[in-house]
Amino acid sequence: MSAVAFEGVTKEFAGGVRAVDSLDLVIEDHEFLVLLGPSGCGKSTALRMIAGLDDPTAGVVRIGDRIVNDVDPKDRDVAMVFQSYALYPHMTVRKNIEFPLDARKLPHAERNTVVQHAAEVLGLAELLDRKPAQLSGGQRQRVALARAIVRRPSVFLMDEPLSNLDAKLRVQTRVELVALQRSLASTLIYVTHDQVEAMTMGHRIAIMRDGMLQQVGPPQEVYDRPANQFVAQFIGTPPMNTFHAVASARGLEVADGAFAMVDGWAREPQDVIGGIRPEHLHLESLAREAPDGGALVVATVSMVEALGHERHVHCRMQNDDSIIVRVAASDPYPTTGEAVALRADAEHVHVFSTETGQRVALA
Amino acid sequence: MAVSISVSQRPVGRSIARYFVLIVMAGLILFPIYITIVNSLMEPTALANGPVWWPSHPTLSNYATAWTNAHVGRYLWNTVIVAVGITALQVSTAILGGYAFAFLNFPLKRLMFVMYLATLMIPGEVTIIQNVQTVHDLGWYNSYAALIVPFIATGFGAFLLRQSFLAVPADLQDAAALDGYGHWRFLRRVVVPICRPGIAAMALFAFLGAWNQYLWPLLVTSDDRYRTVQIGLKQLRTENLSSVTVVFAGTVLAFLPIALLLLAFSKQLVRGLTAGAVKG
Ligand SMILES: Nc1ncnc2c1ncn2[C@@H]1O[C@H](COP(=O)(O)OP(=O)(O)OP(=O)(O)O)[C@@H](O)[C@H]1O
Ligand SMILES: [Mg+2]
Repeated sequence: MSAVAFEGVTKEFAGGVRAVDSLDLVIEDHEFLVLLGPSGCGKSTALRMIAGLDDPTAGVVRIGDRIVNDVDPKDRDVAMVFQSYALYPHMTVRKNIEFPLDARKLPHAERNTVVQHAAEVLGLAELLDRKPAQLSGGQRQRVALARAIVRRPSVFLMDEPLSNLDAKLRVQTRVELVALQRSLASTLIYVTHDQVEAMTMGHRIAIMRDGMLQQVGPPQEVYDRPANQFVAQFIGTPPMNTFHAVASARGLEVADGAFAMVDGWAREPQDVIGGIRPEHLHLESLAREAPDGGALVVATVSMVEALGHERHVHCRMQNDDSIIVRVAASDPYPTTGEAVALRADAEHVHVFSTETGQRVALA
Repeated sequence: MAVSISVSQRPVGRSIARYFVLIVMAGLILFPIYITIVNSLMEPTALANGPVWWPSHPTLSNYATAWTNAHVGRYLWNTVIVAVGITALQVSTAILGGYAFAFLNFPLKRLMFVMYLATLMIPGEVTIIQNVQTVHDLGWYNSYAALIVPFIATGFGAFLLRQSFLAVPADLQDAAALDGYGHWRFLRRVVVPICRPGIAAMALFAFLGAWNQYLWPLLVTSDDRYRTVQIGLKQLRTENLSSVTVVFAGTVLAFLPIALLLLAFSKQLVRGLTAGAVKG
């Protein structure tokens, strides 16, 4: 019984900053939800309103079937892992982990078993008598996790817990966290601005921008069908190519050619923003005839980046929009300055409205 | 590497000059203390031709005289009571005030903080007459209350500890709130332990200030039972003109406790003064 719900929640700070704007979002019981967005979009503020550390200006926050707007943080049954870890510097690891239990007046023996267990789960058993200053970043992060899990809260909140770790440790901890969430079977709301974490960890992603929710859904769905141009470009590395185009019966027409679309464009020709991910573009030889007469786009190669496992071929189209094509490392690739023909997978062409940036439904 | 090179290449001459200046300054400061100690160990008659530089036949008789006949013992005891009382109360109120300014949000917080700071800019002498009157009206003339109560809260203490408390990360307060700790327990279990150096420095300042008070105790006491040691010394000087060695002995007795205290806490004192100036 620990679903979390935002109902029309707005948070306005003194000075008129709308950190969160009319947020409607339900996080299911036992769900792992990732809150994703650029810096300053209101992720932390949303999290802090669940914890009770910030009060909503308007709207209702629910945990389980309780409206918690007026409930004290300590009575909400949530635990939070802070970006800074917020360990108590004057206490040993053991004391830090024990601290929440201390406040709850758990009997001593029971406390010891709980602390010992948490320390073992997180590989901290050897470190219990150290102070936080004597730990590495990864160890501190695990102490913060241990402190959160000893309370067995029904909701976990994590605010960019991995952002202080180096790349290798981050990959490892990512996996551990997912396993941990599964074994704890609690609701977990996880804030990040790292899209790899978002794609790999959560059941669903909620993407925010300027305090407003852009899209919620399973990672693959958000990747495959981004709700707007912002989401399309925020998720994916390198990001989705977007360019000015005219949608017509021929497909997405650009200055020198067109990208085919599966069902074509049944409406009047219209100015749109086209979107194609780099992996859905292919380089064709210029000499070859396009199979459907014209569904090729001519472009000039401006740079080739080799990443080891693949290459990113940066091309400039005649209308000056640039576009990136992903090429497997084993495939042939063009040289800088060469003219190439681009072909898109017709089923992976996205169309966004020029005015609103929203996805335009095809067919 | 860079450090060792710069050390080995630093001109020796400059080093010598630097030490020379430091030694001269230390000598200037220590000289009066030395003379006081030496002369407190002399027979009263030995000083007929002015102060001596070296104790030829040291004796502790002056100390005995000062302690018993001149009541320095009693004065010291009074000073200890007053200084300890003032320190304990001042630290408690400063912790509470500093906490409020550092961690709570309340209406008119800024204005109140400015008012606290403003009290630092008013010289004590301006309010002293009114305060003496108040003490008289309360019937506290010649009492410990008169010596202690007016000093139990200072703007300076609250200000100093606020600065110290501001170094406690806000996340710790949030974490403690989630862990089930209210303000009182957060203060006791987290803020005070983390800010112990700052609090110790503040306590030391409070103690030194209280110990060295002169004007106020002079104005609100006349009875030997409540007089503090600084006034006692002054009295000693006027009453024992014949035996200046006793005055010297009394002076040594008065500063000995404070000197020991400073020696014991000098590390904390310096750390408190520079805390927040640099990170780490
Ligand atoms: N206490 C505050 N007072 C005023 N404005 C605030 C306060 N806290 C946050 N804001 C503002 O609200 C907006 C959202 O802040 P928030 O911390 O939620 O962003 P975030 O998405 O967590 O960003 P980041 O990824 O950098 O942590 C920002 O514009 C920020 O400046
Ligand atoms: Mg944040």
